[in-house]
Amino acid sequence: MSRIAVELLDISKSYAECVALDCLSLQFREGEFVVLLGPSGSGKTTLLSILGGFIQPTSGTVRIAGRDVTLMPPAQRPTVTVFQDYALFPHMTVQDNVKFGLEMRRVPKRERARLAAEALTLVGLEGFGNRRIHELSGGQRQRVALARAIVIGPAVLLLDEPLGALDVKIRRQMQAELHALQRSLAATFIHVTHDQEEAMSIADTIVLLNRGRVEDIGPPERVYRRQASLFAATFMGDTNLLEGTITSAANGTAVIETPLGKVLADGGGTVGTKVRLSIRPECIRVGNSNADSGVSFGRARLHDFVFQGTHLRCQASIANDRELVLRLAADNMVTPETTVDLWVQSRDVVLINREDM
Amino acid sequence: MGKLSTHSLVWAFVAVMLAFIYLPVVVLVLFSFQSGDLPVPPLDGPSLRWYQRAFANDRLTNSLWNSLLVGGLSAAAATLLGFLSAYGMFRRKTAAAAAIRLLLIAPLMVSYLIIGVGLLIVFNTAGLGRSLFAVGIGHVVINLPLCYAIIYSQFGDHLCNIDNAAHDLGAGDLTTLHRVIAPVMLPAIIAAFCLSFTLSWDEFIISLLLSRFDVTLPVMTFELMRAGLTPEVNAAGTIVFAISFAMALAAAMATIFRPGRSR
Repeated sequence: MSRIAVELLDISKSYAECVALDCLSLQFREGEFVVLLGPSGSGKTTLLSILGGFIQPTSGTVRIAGRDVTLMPPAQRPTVTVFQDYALFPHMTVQDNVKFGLEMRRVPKRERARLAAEALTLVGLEGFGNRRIHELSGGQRQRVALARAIVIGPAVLLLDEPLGALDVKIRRQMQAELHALQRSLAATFIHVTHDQEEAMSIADTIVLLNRGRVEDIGPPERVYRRQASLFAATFMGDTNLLEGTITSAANGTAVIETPLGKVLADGGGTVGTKVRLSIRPECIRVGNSNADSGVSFGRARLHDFVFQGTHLRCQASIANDRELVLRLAADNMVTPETTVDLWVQSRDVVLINREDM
Repeated sequence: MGKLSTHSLVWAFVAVMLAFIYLPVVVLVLFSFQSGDLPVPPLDGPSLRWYQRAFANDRLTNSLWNSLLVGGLSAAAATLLGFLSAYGMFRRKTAAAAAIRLLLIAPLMVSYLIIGVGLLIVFNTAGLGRSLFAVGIGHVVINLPLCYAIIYSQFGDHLCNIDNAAHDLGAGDLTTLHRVIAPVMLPAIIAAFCLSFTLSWDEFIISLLLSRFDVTLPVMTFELMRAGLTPEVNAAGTIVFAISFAMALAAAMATIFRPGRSR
């Protein structure tokens, strides 16, 4: 088990009008790729600025590599931030940008040139050293910003929506490169984004933030599949929500009475509690249910097909004028206005006990 | 009636407006090349006679050097102070920001006459009396708000993160200022300097009130005029105008052509 790299204890940040962070406590391990995910106003950028030292928390303690850095200025912290707008120095060449941090650390001149060239090679910009910043594309500027940050060898790299300004294709490529870079450096990366797909594709751990609180924290697959809260269910992609009441619970399986009949779900709870169920669109299957482990929705009329390349998104009208969102394989033979049977496996039904949104 | 006549009306208006603005200058420049003794029509030049006369006049050439000295140094001081205050206001968003901004800008709203008289009283009380140095201080007073306003207006949001990045990479405040912020802000700094220089170069009232034996070019021109209206005054005026024009042009170029903006 690797050591703790970053520790946040009861961090709060309030401004005159609002509370940006509400008593957060988090721990990240060395070499972990953490993604702070949330909508705008969730406090994710504030949290990153507190880690970088650009904002002081109203209360609480920040520890990095075992040291209390709460009041330490950015320059003295073992962190470097990659800013959303890259914040490159426009009057310097690429290599002067990369060498800047080394120069401030009084690294000898020859060593500086070697390390800068190494860092540029690492981000795929070999031979770009003498270019001017305004000659570079957005993706290349992003790489320079990365090289400028990693050349110093920070224990923790903070990335503030670094891929937000790039187009989709380059963003996917940069995600893969960021992931590879993080593995090869074995540094802790803390990456802020509002893009849940980006979060899932690069994170070891997702911290889902909403209104200054942690909604959920865990590996991407768990956070996506077993949503901890109503917010987690709706923010992390499409979902179908059902209200219901627990009628019995035993051996890790609960029976919930819903407007669609009895539904089985993994989990537990007090009998009589009102709960919500979340079912991801891709978990709903066409065909007849397996009576032991599934729940049948009965006959459904399919309509409003949207072809999305890898899959087909459509609506299904079921009993009691209810609608479900479905995500079917693109080569599925169903056509609009056909009527099919729908069912879901009980392990794909997520029981959400938490009342708050 | 139609598009054509509206069009020509617009052009006629533009022509009249430009004539209104530039005709006095054109007349001044034109009659500086007069060869006769009076700067009145008919024009019997062109001749450089009055320029020779002007450059042979020691008092006039001394005043020209004085003006260059006062303009250069006061503009440099005003630009430096304006840049530092703009950076300060940019970095520290204090609650008192509005009040401080008002104090910085306020001298723009006070007439030069009042600033001049005020400084005269201050210098006399302090026992320093009138001098070129006093004129320079006066020009810093009137130009500092302008330099601050020009430079502050160019401190965009993108600089906020550039400033943060420099600090994050280990640079102190001074290093950040001279290695990063000043080079990035260079166009605004040059524009502020050129404009300050031009205003100092043209400034008359404060120079008249605060100078004694060493005077600036506008004050000298005024004295020449009192002695009698000759084309020599036109020649001196043309020199003042040419340099003002060149500096204003430089200021405009600095703000229009900004190399290496990242966004």
